Amino acid sequence: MSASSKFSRREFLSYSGVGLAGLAATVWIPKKVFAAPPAAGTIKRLLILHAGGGMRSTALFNADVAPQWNPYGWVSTTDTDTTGAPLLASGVQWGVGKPLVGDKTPLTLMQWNGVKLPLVSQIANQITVLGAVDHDPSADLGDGNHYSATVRMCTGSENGQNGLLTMLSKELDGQHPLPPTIVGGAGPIGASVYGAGLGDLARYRPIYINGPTDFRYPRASGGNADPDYVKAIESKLDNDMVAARGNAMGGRAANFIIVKQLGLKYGAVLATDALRLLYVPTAALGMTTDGKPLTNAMLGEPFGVAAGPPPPGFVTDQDWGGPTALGVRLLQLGAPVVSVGVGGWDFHSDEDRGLPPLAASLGRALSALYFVLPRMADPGVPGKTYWDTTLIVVTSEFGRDNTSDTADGGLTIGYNRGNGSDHHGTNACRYQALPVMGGVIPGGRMLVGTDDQVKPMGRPQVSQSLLATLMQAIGVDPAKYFAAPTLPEVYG
Amino acid sequence: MRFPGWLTLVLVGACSSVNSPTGPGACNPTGGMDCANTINAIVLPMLAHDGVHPQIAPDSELCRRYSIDLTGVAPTWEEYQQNCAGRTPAQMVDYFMGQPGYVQINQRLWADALQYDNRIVWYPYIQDLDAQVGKLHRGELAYPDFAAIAVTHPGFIGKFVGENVVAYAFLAFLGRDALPEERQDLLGLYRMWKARPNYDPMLTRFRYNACTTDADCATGRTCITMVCQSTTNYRELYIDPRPCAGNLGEVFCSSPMHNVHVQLAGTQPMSLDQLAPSDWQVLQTPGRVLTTLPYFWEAAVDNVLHKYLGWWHGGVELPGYEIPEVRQALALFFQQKSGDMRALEREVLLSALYLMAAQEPQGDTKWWHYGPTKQMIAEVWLDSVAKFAGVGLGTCDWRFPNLTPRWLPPALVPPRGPIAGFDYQHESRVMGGCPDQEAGFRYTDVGVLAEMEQRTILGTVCGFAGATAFLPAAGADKTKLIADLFRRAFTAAPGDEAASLASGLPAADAPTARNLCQAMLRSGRFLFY
Repeated sequence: MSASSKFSRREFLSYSGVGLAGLAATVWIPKKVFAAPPAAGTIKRLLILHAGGGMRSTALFNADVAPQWNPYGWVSTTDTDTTGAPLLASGVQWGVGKPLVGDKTPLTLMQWNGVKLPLVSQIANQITVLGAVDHDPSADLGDGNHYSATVRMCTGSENGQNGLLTMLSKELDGQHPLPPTIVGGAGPIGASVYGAGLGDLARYRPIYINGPTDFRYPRASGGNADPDYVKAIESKLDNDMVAARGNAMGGRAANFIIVKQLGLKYGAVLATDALRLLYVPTAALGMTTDGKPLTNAMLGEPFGVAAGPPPPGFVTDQDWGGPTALGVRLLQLGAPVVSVGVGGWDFHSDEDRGLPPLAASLGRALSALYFVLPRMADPGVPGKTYWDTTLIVVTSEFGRDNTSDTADGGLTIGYNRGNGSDHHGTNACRYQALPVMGGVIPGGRMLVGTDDQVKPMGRPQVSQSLLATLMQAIGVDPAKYFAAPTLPEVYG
Repeated sequence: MRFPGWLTLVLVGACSSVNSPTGPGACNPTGGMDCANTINAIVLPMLAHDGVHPQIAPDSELCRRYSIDLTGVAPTWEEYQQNCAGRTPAQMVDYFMGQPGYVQINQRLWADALQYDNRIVWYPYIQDLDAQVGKLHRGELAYPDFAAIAVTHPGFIGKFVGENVVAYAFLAFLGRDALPEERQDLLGLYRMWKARPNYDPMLTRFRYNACTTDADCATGRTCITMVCQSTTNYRELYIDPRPCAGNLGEVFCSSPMHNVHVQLAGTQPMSLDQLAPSDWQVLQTPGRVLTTLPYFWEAAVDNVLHKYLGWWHGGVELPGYEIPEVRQALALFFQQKSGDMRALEREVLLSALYLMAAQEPQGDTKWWHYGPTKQMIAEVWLDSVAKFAGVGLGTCDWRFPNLTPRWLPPALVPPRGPIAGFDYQHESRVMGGCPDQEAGFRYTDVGVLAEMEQRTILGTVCGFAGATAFLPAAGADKTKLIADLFRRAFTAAPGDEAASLASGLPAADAPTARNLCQAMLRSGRFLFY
């Protein structure tokens, strides 16, 4: 186990002091153009929304299936929102689950001159769904274990030790003001598994942030303005510790020094008030396409995030909104990849009450992304917006089934006896319907749909292929990590 | 309830059986470590085979290790001198296990496994479950009895409805998730548990719209002080014997895998305080079944070894690392001690694996060749910082992640410390501590944000005007300042380097001490122990 740091002392010191001040609160401008066929070089950022616990994707993104697999129904072409406008966009091939649209009320955004935030079904033609994502097509049954399925989704293989973000952090090392970053979803069945890293990749583990409340108070702004004797003593104590105990905890003790250096390096970037979405409404970062600074109040409103007491008429969001808005800020600050994790999808009971608000929150986050990103000028690509240069995907470890313990055998009710659903590895659990969106993705399509019993009507997409596609999109050759082919059909 | 005869025997006979491990060879006492210790009997021959000559760590190193592990805070130099210097490891263990902190730190650690969440579970349920953990670690409750109580306790069941109650019971006591078939199977034994809304005057109500009479309010609300307020504010668990009654109940409330079912006499729902001890015996059936399952004892041993050795069974963070013979021998030991948790912990704490110095020989990557190194959890780090600085930072209550009066009476909210604006619970959570149990898990590894948070906290605490305990006395010289702060931070005197370090100091004054406070407490030497 190597305890050495990649940073020289000179580099270490160069990160300190005023040099970092210039980095604070600036929008990252990408300089490199990667070859990422077929959308060559156009994707600069990835945003992965991970629903931990097993999202019932047949109730959300492949909703036109039998009631056993989706008891909530789907949005039809004749449905209207509360203003009387059509609830479903035209040209949508995938079944939009009713839980995604909540109370069907488009929100009026006061920070955006009263513009309406459309419901996700009304922008469904901007979203394409991978209709049958499977971890292992050779298996008789899907993986219904939270832990191993999460590892499969986040690392690409059953026994994977390094998550996608760790791999990308290594491959993109030093090219961005922030490394890949994870917001929320800690633990072994959450988005944090995208940041797993062992052995030589341990030092490339992403930055982890619990959520917007991590920024409640201002924190040290990076750099190291300590007197030299303080630096010398601290450095000696650290080095002595590593020399004595560097192997401990799988190298965690040794990794500590690296993390401290990264803290100094990234501290100025992360100390900006633009990350204090819940606390500083006036802090701004980046510009809108009509030339206004994008304040926290503006960014937060579509996501349901207010700094301080929400104003009258403001509809707050407690689940996806905060972490997703924070994810947008982190992309602005230069993280090439952000994974946002929201757990709580494991509704073995009371799903009928618990899933709709959580799903509506996810739907709102997707709508908000489609609302905000096209209105955010990408400073690195003149004439383009963040929507044009960002690829967004929703993942989970598996979907959900309910094949036993149901009051009626599960044929019509769609719930188990606890009004919930389970994960036994049958089709609805195994074949996930996962949405992708972004300016480079032609929307509205269903790629490999299923029949109403969730049997794929084509070759299922392998989850490892999805990771390979994301890796390629950001300009990294996936063949180094994944054997499965990419999914070029995502791009049309 | 009717138990089949064989199950009664199993329950009385207490739990799953453990096979005797294969002996690894002759054990010879060495380095002050004897072969009577269950772990030593296996490990000492292994070390001898590898040419490792184990030595007990210096008492200052052991003192810090014991103090942090057993009481949740690093010792001061004075505490070291008083309680550790010249003492044997056994004497130190007896001292620290006799402190209130020993029970408290273990209650804190069980809060993660049992997932306390007072936003979902009524706080008195959690208080009582936490008290059961206290009994376990005071030696008043055997481990199998504790397991049976814990997984059928309203403080646990209240959070996990549906199959999750089985899944998390398995995670807490078998170290793995339940298979789908196991979840389905044992769920039947929980079917008498029900929940209903109720009102606790110690908690506040949700407030709605203005009103003049109850008629102005929606169902479930009443007009109090001109505002519609909820009539309920927590979920009360109760027992309904009806689903398990009769022949149908024998099927509905059964575990076919374990050939057992549960039934209670009575035809009406019962509050928990109406239940007789014999009723509780019935309700604890799934817990007692759990104790009969393979790996029950081994999982308990894994938990203790992981807690005290760090590297053992590292799970997701580390490749699994273990000595199967040690686990097996300890599991047998634990079973023979009738599940005495203190005896199990003592056996680990006095073993070579724990007692050896943590210094890693150059190039030796076998973790069991030297003593353990672990990272302080967030609360331990904060409390140790507070102790160093001599200023209280506040605390958080592991039982109650949510402090709002909707879910917790204000009298139970932990007090804050004297530093204005210092939010202990928040700071700890950024670093992965003070579990909230709403996100499921918190990130506890050393992360960039956690490191930045530590830097910010230490800037505040070390610079706080009221933090004077570590400041030098008038006339102190620089070497003494270095030495005093080393002892205070690391429970160890500086070595030969003291003079050279001191020579770099500008003065032996308060500003220098405050700077050194930051440097020393930010260091890995403080965080890892």
